[in-house]
Amino acid sequence: MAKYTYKLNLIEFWRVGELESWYSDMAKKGYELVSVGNSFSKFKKVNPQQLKYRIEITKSDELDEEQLHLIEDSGWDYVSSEKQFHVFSSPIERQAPEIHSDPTIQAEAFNMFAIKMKRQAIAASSIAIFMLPIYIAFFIFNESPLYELIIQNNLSMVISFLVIIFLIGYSWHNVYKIFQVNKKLQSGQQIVHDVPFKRFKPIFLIVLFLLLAVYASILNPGNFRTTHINYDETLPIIRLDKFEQDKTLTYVNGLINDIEIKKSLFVAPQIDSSESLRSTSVQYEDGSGLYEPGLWNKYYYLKIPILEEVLFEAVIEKHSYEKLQSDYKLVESKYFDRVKIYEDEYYREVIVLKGRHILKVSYFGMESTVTILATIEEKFKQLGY
Amino acid sequence: MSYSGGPMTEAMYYVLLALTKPNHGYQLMQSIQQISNGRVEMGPGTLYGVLTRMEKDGFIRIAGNDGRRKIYEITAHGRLALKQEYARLCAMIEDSNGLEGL
Repeated sequence: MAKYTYKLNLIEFWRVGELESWYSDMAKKGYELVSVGNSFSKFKKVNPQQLKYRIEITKSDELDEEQLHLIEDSGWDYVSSEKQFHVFSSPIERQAPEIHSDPTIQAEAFNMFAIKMKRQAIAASSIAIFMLPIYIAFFIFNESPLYELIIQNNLSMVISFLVIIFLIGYSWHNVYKIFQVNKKLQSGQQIVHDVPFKRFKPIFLIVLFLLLAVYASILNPGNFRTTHINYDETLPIIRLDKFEQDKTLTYVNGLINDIEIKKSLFVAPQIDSSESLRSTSVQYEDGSGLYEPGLWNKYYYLKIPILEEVLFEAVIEKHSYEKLQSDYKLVESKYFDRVKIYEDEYYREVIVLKGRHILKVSYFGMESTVTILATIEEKFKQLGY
Repeated sequence: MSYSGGPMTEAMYYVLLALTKPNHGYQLMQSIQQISNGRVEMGPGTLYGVLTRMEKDGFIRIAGNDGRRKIYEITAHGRLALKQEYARLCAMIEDSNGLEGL
């Protein structure tokens, strides 16, 4: 039974001479070309042989029967076609004549290929121009693009943008190269057959790198996975019972409902908690219902000591909902690097920055921001921040 | 790149010359080689390109089929172009007579 091997082409089609050399070298190693595809070539394991390969380019995708017969009658065996490219082979001892004695004739067909590639590059570029508003919108209308990029590790926008730019740049690079080859043919220079070639282009490394980046940021589940954990004293978050324990109230459901821990590339760990209590006896002062205090922590640790202040603001912006930035007041503090608070009747937010730690405490209840701030300070000092 | 008077390419000239007798593509290559005493060797890809373009321009036409192969022959238009080119080449040779002694 015949054994087949598939190999990535890794040589652009317009590098005709290099592709021909590659197929010859494969034949020397005992791999005879069976068929050519857009990105893969299929080989059959046979005995090593000395074969010459030539690629004939046609104006349309089809190889005319007359053309095929002419080339075959001259001692070339038809192997396979991929669109405008048709591969022929001939054993060296057969001494078949070159398919092209006049490069200017070859240039006519090659020119059609060049034009086709140019059209494709134009089409791709126009699509990209249509997509540009999506990227602009991401940065304009997104409440906090920095938060999404750095904290939530949502790199898909950035990566897809880079991939698009790369692909377009690459296709125009190819168009340029193809027209260069065409110019040479038109001026009467033959395609150089049997040239040394480099199959592994750095360009492929870049593609590989981009694919890895996509994998790392989107597909790798460990990257932004949420894990539920139990409370322990070493967590840099504030408990609701700090504020409510001394009150002579009876509570039900007095427990941490949930603590989640997440990580992104540059911000890890990120801790989210929510906790609420309900009194069975005490009502709000205005008699609007039973007293139900609640407390929500959002903690971030920045792995890299840059952009702390910017991210501090990004955290506020991301979770400000209907509130304006001006609703947050800057508070002087000897301990913290930066403190901002928000206050209304029963709802308060305290956001602190200390070194690389950012903690946002949202509290619904009767305790004051001063107490909350003091409690955070006490907790941070306890943890040695 | 269609031909409109003036100097012809070597390939075109020899194809017209060889097609004064109807012939099919592969044999045409052989005849061209013979006529030129082995000086002009035309590759099959190049020949095909020249043939299709000259057929389009009306210098040659398909006279019939020999099995799976097309048989080409020169047209009156092609004959005229060939004669004109021959005259031009002769004139060039005449003009260069003085070179003999160099």
